[in-house]
This record gives sequence, C-alpha cells and structure tokens, in this order.
Amino acid sequence: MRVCAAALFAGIVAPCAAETTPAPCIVRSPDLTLPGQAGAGDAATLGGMRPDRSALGVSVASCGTVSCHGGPKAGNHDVQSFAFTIWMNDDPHARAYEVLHEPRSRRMARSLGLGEAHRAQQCLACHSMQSESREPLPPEVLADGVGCGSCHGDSSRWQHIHYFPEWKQLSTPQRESLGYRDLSNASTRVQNCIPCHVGDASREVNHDLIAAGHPRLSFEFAAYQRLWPRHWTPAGKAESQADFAQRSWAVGQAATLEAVASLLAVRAERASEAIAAERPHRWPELSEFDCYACHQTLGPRSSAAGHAARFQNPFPGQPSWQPWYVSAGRLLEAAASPSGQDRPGVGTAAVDIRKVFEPEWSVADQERLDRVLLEARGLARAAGASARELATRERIVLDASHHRLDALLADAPPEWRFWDAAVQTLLVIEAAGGGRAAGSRQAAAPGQTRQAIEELRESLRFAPGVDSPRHFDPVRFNLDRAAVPLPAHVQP
Amino acid sequence: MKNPGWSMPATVIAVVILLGSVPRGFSAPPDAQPLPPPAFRSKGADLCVKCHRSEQGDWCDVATTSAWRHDAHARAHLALSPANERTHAMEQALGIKAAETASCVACHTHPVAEPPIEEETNLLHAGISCETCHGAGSGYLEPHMEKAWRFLSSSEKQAFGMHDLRNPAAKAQNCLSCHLGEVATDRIITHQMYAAGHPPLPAFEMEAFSAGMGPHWKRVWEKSPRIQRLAAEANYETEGASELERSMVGSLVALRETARLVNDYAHATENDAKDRPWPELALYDCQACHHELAVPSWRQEAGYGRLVPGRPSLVRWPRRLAAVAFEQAGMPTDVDALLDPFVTVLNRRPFGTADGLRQAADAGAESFTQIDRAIAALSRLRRDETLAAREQAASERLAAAGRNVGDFESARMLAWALMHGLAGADAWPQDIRTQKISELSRLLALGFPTPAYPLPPSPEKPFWQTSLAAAPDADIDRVRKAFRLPPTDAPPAPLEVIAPPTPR
Repeated sequence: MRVCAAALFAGIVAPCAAETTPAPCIVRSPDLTLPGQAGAGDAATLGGMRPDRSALGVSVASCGTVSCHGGPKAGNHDVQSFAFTIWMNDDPHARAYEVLHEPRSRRMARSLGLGEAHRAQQCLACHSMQSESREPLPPEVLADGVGCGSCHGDSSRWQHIHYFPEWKQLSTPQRESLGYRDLSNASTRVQNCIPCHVGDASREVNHDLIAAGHPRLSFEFAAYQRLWPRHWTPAGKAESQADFAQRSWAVGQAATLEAVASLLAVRAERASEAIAAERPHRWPELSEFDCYACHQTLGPRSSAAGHAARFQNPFPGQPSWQPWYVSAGRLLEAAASPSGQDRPGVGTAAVDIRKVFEPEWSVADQERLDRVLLEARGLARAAGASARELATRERIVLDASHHRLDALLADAPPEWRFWDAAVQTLLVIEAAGGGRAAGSRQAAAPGQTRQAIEELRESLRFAPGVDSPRHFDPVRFNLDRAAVPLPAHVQP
Repeated sequence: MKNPGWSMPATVIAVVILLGSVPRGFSAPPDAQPLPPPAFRSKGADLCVKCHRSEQGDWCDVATTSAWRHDAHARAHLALSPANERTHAMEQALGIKAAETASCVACHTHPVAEPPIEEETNLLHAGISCETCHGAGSGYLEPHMEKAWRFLSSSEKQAFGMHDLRNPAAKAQNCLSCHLGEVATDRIITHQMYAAGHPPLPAFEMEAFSAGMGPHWKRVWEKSPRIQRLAAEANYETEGASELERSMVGSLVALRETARLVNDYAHATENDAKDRPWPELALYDCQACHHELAVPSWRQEAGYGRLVPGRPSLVRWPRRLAAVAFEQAGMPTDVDALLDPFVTVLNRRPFGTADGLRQAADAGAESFTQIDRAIAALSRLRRDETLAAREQAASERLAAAGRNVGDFESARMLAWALMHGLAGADAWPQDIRTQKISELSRLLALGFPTPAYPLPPSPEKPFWQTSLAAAPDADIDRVRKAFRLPPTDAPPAPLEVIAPPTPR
C-alpha cells in the first residue's frame, strides 16, 4: 500500500487498484494531472480567479465515514475527525438543497415560472454543486447541497490519496493541481464564498427572486465566519494569524466589492445587449438599490419624506445604489487605508458608481449602461488591487476609532442615513476588536464595551415579523455609537 | 320645456357641444388636439357666495358656501405658502416655489388655464372653489338665476359652461383630474413631489370622499316630494340611484382614467422627456413597493398573478371595486384580463417603457369601451322597488371581493362602497351592520376627520394633519376576515332586475 501510495504521489501509477484503496473512499476519476499542468498555480493567485465548480462530482458520503471525517463529536478528538458531523448537524450549507423542497421554495419557483425549484438550474447553481456547464449530477450528490467539494474542491483526484503522510509534504500549488483548494488563509477562503453570497455571471439573486421570497444578500465575510460553525482546527489555518478578525474583514470587504462591481458590470452588459436586440431585460436591477428606500409603509411620518429634509437628499424619490457596499468601501478606505496603486480608493470608486445613477436612477439606455459599465470596472479594479495589496500585508490593523468614524461621517453625512451603513459600522468596530470577535487572539474587549456594542446591535434589530428597519434612527444610532467606550487597541 | 328667455352666442354653444362630443380615444396624443382657449372665464367665488351663503328655497335648501368653507378644498391654496413647514421643506428639496409651479397651482387653487377677469380679485387665494368643479361662470352666472334654468337638460347647461356634477361619471372624472391626475391640465403629481414630502394620494372612492368633505348639496331623493316630482320632469335622473351605485360608477371611471393617465403621460414623455421623464413612478401602485418587508410575507404567498415577481404594478386601487361594478351592471368582466396588455409590457423590463405602455393602451382601447358600456348600464338603474335587493346583492358581492382582496387600497375602496351598501341592506340587523362598518373603518382607517377642517388653520393644526390617514399596512388576513358577513334569511338577490348589457 505504501508503495502504491508513493507511486501515486510520484504520478506514475494512474489507476488505483481496488485493494489498495480503503473501502469507504470512492474513486471516480483515476486520472492524475501532474502538478504544474493544467494551469496549476493560477488558483493560488488572488483577484480575478474564481474557484472552478465545473467538476464537482463526489458525494459527501465518501468523506463522512466514521473513520474519516464523520466521527463522533467529542472534545478529545481532533476536529478533523468530526468535520463532516459538524457540517451535517450544524452547518446550514448541508441543507442548501433540502430547502428547495420546502413549500416556500416551491411557491417561489412557481411564481417565477421556474418549474420545480430543485430542478431549476437558477436555484441549483448555489443550492447544490450542480453548475451550468456540467452534466447533471447524480441525485445523491445533488442532495448534499453545498457539500465538501463546494469549498475543498473536486476530490475525485485527491480523495484517495489525501490521507497519506506524503500528502502533507505536497506544496499548495501541487495540491491545487489535483483539484484541492487551499482554504488556510482569509484571501482564498473568501473567494469561495463570493460566487454564491454575492453572485457572478452564472448565479445571482436579483429582485425578481427576492420578491418571490428569497432573502436579500448582504455579505460581510468576517461576520459570516463568526456565525459559521467551524469544522476545522484553527492551528495552521487563517485563524492562527494574529490579525485574523481584521484581515478577514479587510480582505473580505475588498474581495466582496470586486465581486459586487463585477456583477454590476455583468448586469449592465446583459441589459445593454438585450436593449440592442429588443429583448426583455431587468434594468434597472432593483436589487442593486437601497431596499428600504422603497420598502417602507407610507404615511405622514414616513422616513423617506423626513430624510429628504433631514439629510438634504439632493435627489428626493431616488433610491441610492448599494448602501451596504458603498458604506463598506468607505469604511475600508478609512479603516484599513489600502493603497490603490495610484487608483482611486474603493470608497471613492463606489461613490462614483452611485453618482452615475443620479439624478435619474432608472434610465435604461446605452449611454447610461456604458457609464455604469465603465465605473463598475473601475471599482472592480480598485477593489481587486486593494484585496491583493491587503493580502500581502504582514499585519492588518483596523482603525475603527470614534475619531476615524466621526471624520468619515462628517465627510459625507447623507451616506450614513442608511440602516445598512449603520450595520457595516457596527461590523467594522467588532472586527477591529471592539466586540465579540470569536477566533481572534485579540484581548477580549472589556465587559462594558461588549455590553455597549450588544446594545447597539439590539437597536439595529428588526421588530418581530418585520424584515425592514421600521424604527431605525440614524442620528440616534450615531450618537449611541459615539458613546461606546472602545478599548485602546481599537484606536491605534 | 320653456324657453329660458335668454340666449348664448350660438358659436359658443356650438364650440362647447363640439368639445363635449370629441371622443377621447387613447390613441390620440394630447398635442393632436391643442387645448382650446377657455370658452368661459371665471367670475370668482365671491359672487357665488353672495347668494349661496344661505338656503335658496326648497330647490336648494343647503347653505352651500358655509359648508364649503369647512371643506379642505377651500383651503387647498394654503398649502402653497412656504409658511407651512412641509411646503417649505418641499420647496427646498425640489428647488421650486410652490405658488409659481404649474403642477402645484393646478390642483391647489383655481386652474391657471382660466385666468381671472373683470372685477374678480384674489382667485389665487380661494383654494378649490365653486368654479373649479362647476365650471367657469361667465356663461351661466346670470342665466342660472332664472327659474327656467332648473328645467334645462344637463347638456343644455353644459352649453353655458356649467358642468353636470349630478352625473356620477362626470363628477368622478372631475374629481379624479386632481385626485388621480390629468396630463392636459398639468395636474400631475410626481414621485419626486411625494418623496419631497407631499402626502400620498389615497385611493379615491368618490362618495366616501364627498361625504367626508361635508356635502354642500342634497341628492334629489333627499329633497321634498314636490321638488322630486319637478326634478323628474326635468330629467334629473342622471344622478344615479344610490350612493352605492354612484360609487361603483366612480370606480369604473377611475379604472378608465388610470389607463388614460398612463397613455397620456407616455405621449407627454415622447414630446417632452425633460419635464415628463420616464418612468414616472407616481403612475405605479404605491404599495407595490412601499410596504414593509415581512417574514412570512402574505404578498409572496398570494403570488403576483401574471406579473413577474418584483416588477412594480401600475395603479391598481380601482380594480377590485370596478370588478364588482361590472357584475352589478350585469357584465361580469375579468378586470385583470382587461389590463393584461399592460402586464406584458411591465414584464419586459421593470416599469415597462413609455412606448410599450402607450401601445398597450391603444391595443386595449377597444376593450376599455366595455367600461363605458358598464357605466351606461349602471346609469340606467333607477331608484325603484328593486333598489333594496340590488343593494343587498351588491353588499354580498363587495364582501366576497373583500375576502380575497390583495392590497389595502383596494380593500379601502371595497369597504367604503360596502358602507354605502350596508346602509340599505336591511337583511342584516342594524347592529351587525354598524359593527361591521366600525370594524372595517378601524382596520382600514376609513374615517374622515371630524369635525372636518376647522377654520382658521393654525400652525398647531395645519390642514394636512386633519386629512385622511394613509392606508395602514396591517395584516391582510384581518382585513379579509373583517369582510365576512353573517348569512341572511333573505332570499338571494333577484339578479334579473339588473339591466342587461347593451352593446353600443
């Protein structure tokens, strides 16, 4: 067996003999591509490269045997031995496909004219490992939802060898040439989440989908990681970096902004083609705009009417482009000061996109779409450059001090009227070490700070049964925020 | 009929009659028929007040102008003053002066198309006054003081410039020119104006609004038997048979006018994209977008019909009541199918295109004549021995429609109409009817402020604080349940009493 394994690693023996393969592991593709072939190493470069999901065909069942990753969840075992068990029991990704059978999903697919949700590629693109370009997956693989292969890569060429000691000696590019994906740092990890949690050319959550019942997307990598049940040991992984929370936030926001801008560019391009060909289209794509600009009950006390006057909104009646991501860009520029290699900062580039939609946000003609495309590409480049620059930094320190945030607020007061901006502000304070940044080696924030931040978080919570910020008061929020006693390390 | 004893220049009468008979087809762009110079000029409310401040015998036994003075219309012009906090904020946000802006002036004071003449002063300070609705008075001021005036037909009165507001269809069109909008007269409220602070225009149920503002008239059937007899001779029956059926005519007119408004606006966009940009969101259903998000969402559960989820619908509050009106007219009609050409356009891109919606209006123009046939059928109904059965049947239909209603503004329309219907539907005991009305009224904020509009307005009580509340965004299930009516022992309504449709 050892011989066989060694031969495998040397890339000499192609098919793995049945008797040398441990029973639970299924070998689907015996072909080995040698390290260095087939664009190996590309996946390791940041920015612009997205994980290829086109060849995921191994069921989680082959990973989740009791003797491999599906062992009992017990404190004295290595997390690796029950990684599958955690995923199966605690991780929502495990139910990604299952939910497509629920009444809500069935109703959504019906009202969108998609037929059955669990057969519609539009849904399967994120709720399973089925990608557009590959042949239909067998039902048991579909049923895995977002399974092991979604993030760790197609294991058909490495699952039968990755448990040998020699595996540990392979370099990351060598492993990746076999289809394995390295997730040990924040930069590579976030690229895995983005295609679904932000969207790309082959998967998106648009306003039609949201109106039919899909939740809106509002991605912030660091917060998602905190909420995600961890199925790995922090040692040797991204978590072991001293600046894990800050790095996740900064790199995550930059990579996310790149994806947001790329998606906008894709949408603009598609609308442009459709208009030229007189086909139906979805421009303006309403999910690109502030949800709560429109989604609020009208009345004499309606916040929109009040806001126009209070914040000197120069364009009454116009929803703003992406307050969630514009505020992320501005906070990133302020808190992490990424150098843009002579390009405008990400915050500025994001604001530039917003300006394209003013004063008439809903115009759908070639001139408008060309301008959107231009600015979207500008932000994508600026954000990609920022992500690369941040990834090379030895240590990332976020400045989420009141001084910094107040300066940002004074710079562009209308920007901070959004609930989305308030949440992003809270998240950067938490990432900077002000709150409950789990997994961080940061000295825990003093109890008083944690409590103040919890209260701030509570003030942003929606009322029961309501999915919009009915009682949000931006002025009040910023006063409360300014009163949070931040520990010294948040204010470098 | 007696000769009135005085005459108008024949040309003027001819012009007016001609104007009245020009078909307002959807296909004709507004600029193809330039607005004629006003045939009549305003005389000013001051002259009307001289007589109508007190009762005028038993023909007109209401102190009209004193009722009008307590009506918000009398003070509509005050909203143009920057002394109001809200007006000031709007002026700031929009960079305008309300008193000098055509679309503000068009609805808040006397129409600018009919400038004041002669001795009249201060027309701009009289809000929506007599002549805004009844017609400019230069033609009829003196004639209408003659006894013979009462015996002229409405079209003869029209020839002198007096509008027939007894006729519910004519009245609805008159009210809706502001309460919905009209391109030709600049009575356009824009989404920008709303966003800057203009209160939302609520669903408009003509008879409830008339009652709410404090009527300054009596229906013929409320007058003395002698007057009723004389009115019958003079063919006053254009008035309709009941508040309920008038309200149904109003909803049919509203349905037609919403389509016309979209069509006219789409034409205006093509001619003047700068001042009439597309899309104008005020043409769409406010609550399609403006509702709080909820989980679970009854909107999503109900589905969106043929409309792609997430695409804003055009104004839809007239539809459900209009559907009941079609039934009442004996012409059951699928109102959604009638509007289907618009839905196709809205599905091609969010908000559709001006060109697409205009073409849809053209394509649907033939089916919109069905609305006019239903109005005609309802107008033939009389206040006779079948009225009680009709009101009973209509109430049941309204309640049934309410149990399936899909938005609050449509629910309000149905509920207001049901309030008129229940007044006469005595198959249910009075206490049940009263209780039902108060339940609906509470849930849907149907009530108008009482006492209506005290004078003078003060900074503490400006007029908009006494205006109608916006439709609440509550639990639709509670609203639907509130439309449940107990079964009655009365025999089912005899449908045969309802006039059959007569195609034109």
